[in-house]
Amino acid sequence: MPSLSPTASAHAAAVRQRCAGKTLDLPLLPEVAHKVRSATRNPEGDALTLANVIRRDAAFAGYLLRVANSPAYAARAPSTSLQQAVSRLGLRTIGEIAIVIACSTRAFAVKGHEGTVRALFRHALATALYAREIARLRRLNVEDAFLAGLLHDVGRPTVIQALVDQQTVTSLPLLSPVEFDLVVSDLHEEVGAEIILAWTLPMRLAESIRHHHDPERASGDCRPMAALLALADDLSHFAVPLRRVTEEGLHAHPAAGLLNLYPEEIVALVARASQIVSQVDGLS
Amino acid sequence: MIKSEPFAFDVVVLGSGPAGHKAAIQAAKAGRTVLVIEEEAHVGGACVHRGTIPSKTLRETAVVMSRFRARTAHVIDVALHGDVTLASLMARKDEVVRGHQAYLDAQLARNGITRWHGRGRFDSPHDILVRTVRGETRTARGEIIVVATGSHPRVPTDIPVDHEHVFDSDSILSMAYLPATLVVLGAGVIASEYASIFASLGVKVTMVDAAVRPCSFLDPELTDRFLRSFTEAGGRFIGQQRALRVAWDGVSDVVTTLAGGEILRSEKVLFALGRAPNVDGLDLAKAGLAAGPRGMLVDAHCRTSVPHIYAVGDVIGAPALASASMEQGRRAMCHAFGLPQGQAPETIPLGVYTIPEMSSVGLCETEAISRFGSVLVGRARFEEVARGQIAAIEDGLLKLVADTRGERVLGVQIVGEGAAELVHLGQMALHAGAHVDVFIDNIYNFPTMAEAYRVAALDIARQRPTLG
Repeated sequence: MPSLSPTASAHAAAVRQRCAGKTLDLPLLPEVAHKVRSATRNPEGDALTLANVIRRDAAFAGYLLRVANSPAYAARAPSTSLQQAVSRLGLRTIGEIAIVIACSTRAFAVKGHEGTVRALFRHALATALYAREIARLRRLNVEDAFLAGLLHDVGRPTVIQALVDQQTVTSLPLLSPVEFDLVVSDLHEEVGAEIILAWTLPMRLAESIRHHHDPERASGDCRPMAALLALADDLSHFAVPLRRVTEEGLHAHPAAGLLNLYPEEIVALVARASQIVSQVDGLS
Repeated sequence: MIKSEPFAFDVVVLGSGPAGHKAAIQAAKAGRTVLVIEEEAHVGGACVHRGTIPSKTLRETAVVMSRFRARTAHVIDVALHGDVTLASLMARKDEVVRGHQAYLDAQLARNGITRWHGRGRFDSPHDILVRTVRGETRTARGEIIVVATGSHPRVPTDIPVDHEHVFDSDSILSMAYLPATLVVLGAGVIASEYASIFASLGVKVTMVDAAVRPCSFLDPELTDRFLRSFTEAGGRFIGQQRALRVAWDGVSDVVTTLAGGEILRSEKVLFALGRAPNVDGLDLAKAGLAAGPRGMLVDAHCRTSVPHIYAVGDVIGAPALASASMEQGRRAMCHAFGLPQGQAPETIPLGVYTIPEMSSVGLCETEAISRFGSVLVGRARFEEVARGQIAAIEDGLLKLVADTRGERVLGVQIVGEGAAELVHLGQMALHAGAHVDVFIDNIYNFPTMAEAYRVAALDIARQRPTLG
């Protein structure tokens, strides 16, 4: 990664300081996501109770129905009732979707950066879907992989917001668009990990997200998941490009080595790109 | 690309699990140059990374919990918090695996064995083409080739193993949390071990199998006691049944429909019905070999139909035990280099790490009767042994099988905590062709479980036919 200019470094340091001092505005897990998460943890939780929670949030309910009818969840016949949609998707999936929504809408709307945030959301979905496939191949936890994939870049919108705020209220010089992106990239892992912890999600998710661009730095038991994220991240860029990733690049990917994935397995993952894209289209 | 000269070795071993590792060491000790090819980054095979060792670390926690309940006479009940992670119950797993790996690595290095990280396949009867994880290839030529590629859980065509709701024995330990309920399909060694481990950890386990009882290759007196413990821990065994259909209901449960019509709902399912040999991708045909459905075909010396190619371990099928695999690896190389092979393989013990453990060496009662007509059997119940009382491992049994005159030891079967260790005393007696009285005449530490041998031997002495 190119080193930051003095201006960019000053901005990065300011965000980092606010993050360490707990004065950075971290997004809240939206209330409905919170309720869904606690409902899914309750052993007595059933589809009806959950449907009632969701019904109170019209936007969420609408989104959920759309997802239930998307190709990713291979509906046999369209779901029309919320309860049916809940049954079809499953409690865990609903919990995931609640977080997906947290990532895609209210919590992450950054004025002037709507396009970027929306693209990030599609990227996150593709990463989650790829993370799940790699987890199956390497016999790692499939649910963790999906969630970690979904949230691996959760820090980006927050850093974007923080920089936007910083440029208007502080006396620091303005960042060029290139510098802006560099600072976001530089900080998004650590801010993302802080968000995961603030949402009381497991520490192991925070640790793998904190090091998803440099998995060797993750603690021993989180290293495979961090490596999985690093590879899923680039596979996702290959399928839904935000940044240029070539097939050769994927074959030489350091994470492929860490995960002991052979060229034939990478070929098989790459071949799933169009399927992943259609799943993302159905979900976003 | 310029084709370079192949690297030449006396012995090329494919796979570094117990069978391959032992074969390599034996060949190196015989003064041969040896190459070991391993597709994973670390040596050790499924034994170290996916099966034997990781599951035993989880078992250790389960045993502590169940013994704590027993020792406190269930006055203090121990239960796990609902969201405890599986990883935290295997706290020492990583150290154990790392330690064992380092030991295996050091052993290979000390014996001057070369190791390549890659996937190997036959290019000719003597040439192995190795492809690294980066896609580079090179060829190794071996005078002797040993195939020790192991096995993997059988992939069923009718049951959707997605490693998320329905697991196999390679992925079951990737679960993040203990499920509330678990259905285990199968009742062999792996199925019985996981079923009893999870039951002892408080999971409601239902085991389904076509057999009448779990581990039906063992003496029924052993499996009856195992089944009793399993049931007491909240487990349920459904025998003579099979799953017709397994499907995730999309909400929270996997629904297993049995042929008899019963429907089981569980949070997770473990499919543990058999393992298949790792022969795909080996290009056996290029070596003039073919594999049967149960694995590669070999003679008594683990030699294939191509005289310089041996196959050892799980890749040749049953018994698929780490201990037997090591012995096959060793014997194959002894045969290849004309070295004495040593003791006969029928004294290899069998250890099943269920809770409680089950173990067997030599002939069991039924086998002995079918071979010799009649036998004398001595029994020691663990509650008759002081140590058993103290340690609250009363629900155990040791069976000593002797010839009809009650003199020659033919076999030992044990169920109860510590069975897999205790069996070795019987194994030594078998190996030495000892008289049953050796267990009466010797003095043991007191109190120990070894006393069970004396109790069983006295039981045989009591039954001996009186002369005249």
